[in-house]
Amino acid sequence: MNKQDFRSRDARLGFLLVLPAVILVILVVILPIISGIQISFTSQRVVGSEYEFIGPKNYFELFGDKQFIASLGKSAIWVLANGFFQTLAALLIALLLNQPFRGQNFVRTWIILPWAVPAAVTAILWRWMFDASAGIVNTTMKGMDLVQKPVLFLANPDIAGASLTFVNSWRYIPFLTIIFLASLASVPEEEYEAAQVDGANAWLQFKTITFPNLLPTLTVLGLVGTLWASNVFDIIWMMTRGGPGDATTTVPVLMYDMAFYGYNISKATAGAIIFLFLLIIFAFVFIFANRKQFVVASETFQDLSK
Amino acid sequence: MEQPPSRVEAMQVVVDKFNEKYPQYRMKQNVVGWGEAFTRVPAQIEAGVGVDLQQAIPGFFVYVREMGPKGVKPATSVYEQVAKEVKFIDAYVDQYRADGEIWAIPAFGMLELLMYNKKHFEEAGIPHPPKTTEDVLAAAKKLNDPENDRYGFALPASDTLAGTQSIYTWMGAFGGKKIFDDSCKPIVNNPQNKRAYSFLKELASYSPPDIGSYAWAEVEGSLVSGRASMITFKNAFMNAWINDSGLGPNDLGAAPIPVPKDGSGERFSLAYSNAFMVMTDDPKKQEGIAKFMSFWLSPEIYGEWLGNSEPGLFLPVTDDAKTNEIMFSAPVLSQFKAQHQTSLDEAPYTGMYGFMQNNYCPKVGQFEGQNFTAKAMEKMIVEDISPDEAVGYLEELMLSAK
Amino acid sequence: MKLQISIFSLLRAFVIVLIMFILLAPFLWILLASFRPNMELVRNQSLIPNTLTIENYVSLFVKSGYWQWIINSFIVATYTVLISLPLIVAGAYSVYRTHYWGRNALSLFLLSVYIFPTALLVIPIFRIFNGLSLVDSHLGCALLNTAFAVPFGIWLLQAFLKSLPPELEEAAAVDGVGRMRTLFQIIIPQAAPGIIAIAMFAFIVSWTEYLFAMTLLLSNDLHTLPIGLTGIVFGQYRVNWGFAAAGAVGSAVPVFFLFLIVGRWFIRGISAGAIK
Repeated sequence: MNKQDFRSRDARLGFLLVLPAVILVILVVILPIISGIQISFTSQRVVGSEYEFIGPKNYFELFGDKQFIASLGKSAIWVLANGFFQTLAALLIALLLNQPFRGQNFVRTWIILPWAVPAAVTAILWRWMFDASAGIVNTTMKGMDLVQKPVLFLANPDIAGASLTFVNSWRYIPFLTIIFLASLASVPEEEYEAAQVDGANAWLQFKTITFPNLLPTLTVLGLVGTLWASNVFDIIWMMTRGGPGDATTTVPVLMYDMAFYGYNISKATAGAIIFLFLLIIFAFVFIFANRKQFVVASETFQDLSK
Repeated sequence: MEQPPSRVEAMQVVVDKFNEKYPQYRMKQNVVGWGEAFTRVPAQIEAGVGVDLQQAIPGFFVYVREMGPKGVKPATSVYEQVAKEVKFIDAYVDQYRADGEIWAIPAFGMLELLMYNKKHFEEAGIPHPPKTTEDVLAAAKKLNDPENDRYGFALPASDTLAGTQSIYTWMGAFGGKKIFDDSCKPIVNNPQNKRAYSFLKELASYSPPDIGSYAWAEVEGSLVSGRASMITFKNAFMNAWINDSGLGPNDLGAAPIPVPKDGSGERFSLAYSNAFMVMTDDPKKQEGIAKFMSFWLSPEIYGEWLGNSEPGLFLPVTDDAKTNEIMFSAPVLSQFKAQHQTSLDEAPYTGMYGFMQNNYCPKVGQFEGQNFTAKAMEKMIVEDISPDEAVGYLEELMLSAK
Repeated sequence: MKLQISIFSLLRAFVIVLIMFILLAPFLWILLASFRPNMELVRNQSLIPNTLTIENYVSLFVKSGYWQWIINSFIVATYTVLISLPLIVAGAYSVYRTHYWGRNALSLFLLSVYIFPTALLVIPIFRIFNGLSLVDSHLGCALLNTAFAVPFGIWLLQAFLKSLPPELEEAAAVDGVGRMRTLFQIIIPQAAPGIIAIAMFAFIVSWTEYLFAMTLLLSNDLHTLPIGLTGIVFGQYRVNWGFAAAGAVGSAVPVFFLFLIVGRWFIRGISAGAIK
């Protein structure tokens, strides 16, 4: 088998193998987006109702809509708070749990539980525990004399966003931690041994060995985590529905409300498309800035085909 | 459509009996929670897999009607067939009249009362029931004791349906029930509503600090647990009162919504007509639907269902002594006869935002769906703006609706 | 020096216990709550219950559709796992072990599914799936879950594939064994722990999914656990806290057992160093 022949068969095989996944993604993501773009240029109010083509009117309206602009800001804060805080916290927890200790296996198995239950459970659990009068968090804090008045976790507009961030982090940090732990386990033991021989301290080891090895994981989670956080809808909707006031009204919440309770599905879809566009820009910038991390290292067969 | 298991079960009993009596028809219950109805039901209709008979509340009816002819079908002929057998209370039918047609067959009503804890009133030496809005404020102020986590009232100042319904009820009591003029232009920025919002703002100060996140459950829970002494609510928690309050049926007070002392308001409550929309053109199916509705609303079946499915919440839409007799003899409801009678007595003095006798303003869908009255209330509390500004904001929201 | 280390490890133990407490205590709390009468929960959620009851569980097991929901959730999750696994294994092998133009871009393209604003585009999805007759079917729901499990699943599996020594494959190639046979006979058996982990990942993605199930599964008897549970928890007009707590426990228990049996494979299966 010559090199040329091998290469092209390799390429064909690779392409065929990934094709089903690509088709599925096109079906589930690309087609609905195209359909969404179509709707966004119409006057449709309710799903299934009659409509006409109105050009980019919905988009113009949105750019002048104070509430929409405000929700973009809320989303930006939400994404920063969640994406950044969660990734950082998960990384720290993973580093902590990576050193051997008694009960390590227990912790590594059960830490994941908050991620594995439906959002409705998470929402009700915390709505209940955050309750101002009967909630366990407030009664405990009062019992310990930490607070005089109950903290209005979800009813105080200054705190609601932070409370939701906490709950959402409670849900996702375990999963991110597990991924970091897996990634830490892949760092070759020999590198640490060599560093210890050289007398490198813990910080130096982290800087020169752990961190570079974690970087690809960190980059992918930075990308995917941001996208996940930006589209979080269920927890917010079920806990505050965007309130109090508009304190927790992020873009997905505002658009959902507009689409189904504001009788304006076409404008809401336009809002979603704008948001999507912003996310795409973010993704491109992020990928470009970190392009080295995204190049997949693949050593197989290269030598063989020489 | 009503989702809690006990309600689904009670409805299933009716459906089973119907299927047994009329083997030529087959009725199947499909349950969709209200939280999902706005996305799911239009999707079902779009896909051609919708149901033939769809439960509606006024706001949802407006929403489905936006879909045009492929959504809800005129139900006048079905209504007329049913009306031959049962006598409907007009107020419940009116909410579904538009463009010369009737669009849904009423099935049960709901309305708001002032529910209160008689024991609290007696212990504090306050005469009850409160008859005027001034009485309500005075009682709330006297009963309010935040130090001990006790509050005079529990008013949901939240962006929820609970908020919308409670607040609109008080707007009506102050004489502001009409929110659109005949050309569907919002007319809420008026002295009546300013007084109502000023009343509500004071009431909120005698309410728990977290009312900004209250939905139905929290409001009900606060009265049942003894944390609050008064709420605006449906007389709908008899089971909870017996099981959870530690008090007896006679300790639960139910009064008509109080009105201002100077007589400027009117006897009023928000009434919610729950009805069934006909979603099929097929004459055979329509005939079956008429048969089913007549069967359900017949005294034996209806009385039993009203009395047991969720005692107190569902009010008869028919005027029928036998139905009421059966309803009142249900085990739980029979202990709360006086309170339930208050609901029945108030039925003629009710109304529904945006629905006039023969038509409705389409904007009411957004008015309810996005909880405009509650948003204005929330803003007034959270940002501490004046009642006048809050009412101005309410009008602004209504003007922005399409 | 020694003292320092012990203070450090004491501090570390404290932080670990604290973290685990925050993450797991709510589950203990709701477990306790589920055995308490509604009255107690409405009035005051003190830590120590006065009375215990199984009434909430009677409601859950007998009066609600719990068993039906569990079965449906299992069906959807099983479909999701069965469809995702071949796609993930094939996809990961393709992206990380073969060469073709645009391979990098393709792997990024796959990750782009997470850009998708799910809450709003459920309606177009509904239309497309309706055209394919996949509405009101567990399979349709599983396909959607699969689309969202596969891209990250591929990424998870790559770490594992990377750690497999390429020599075996090269030897197979020299011996003239076809690539597909190599994949089945050499790669898959070696990647077994990774594949178990991916299966768990896909399972959980499906188990917790709400929005697609809510939109696509129209008939009551097809509803999955998150839909049923949301109905219980966020019912109109009334919430029975005790019942809601029992429902929450009822949805966590299957996951609990899953992790009890295969939990330790999860982290091992997504770590590259694991098989060394």
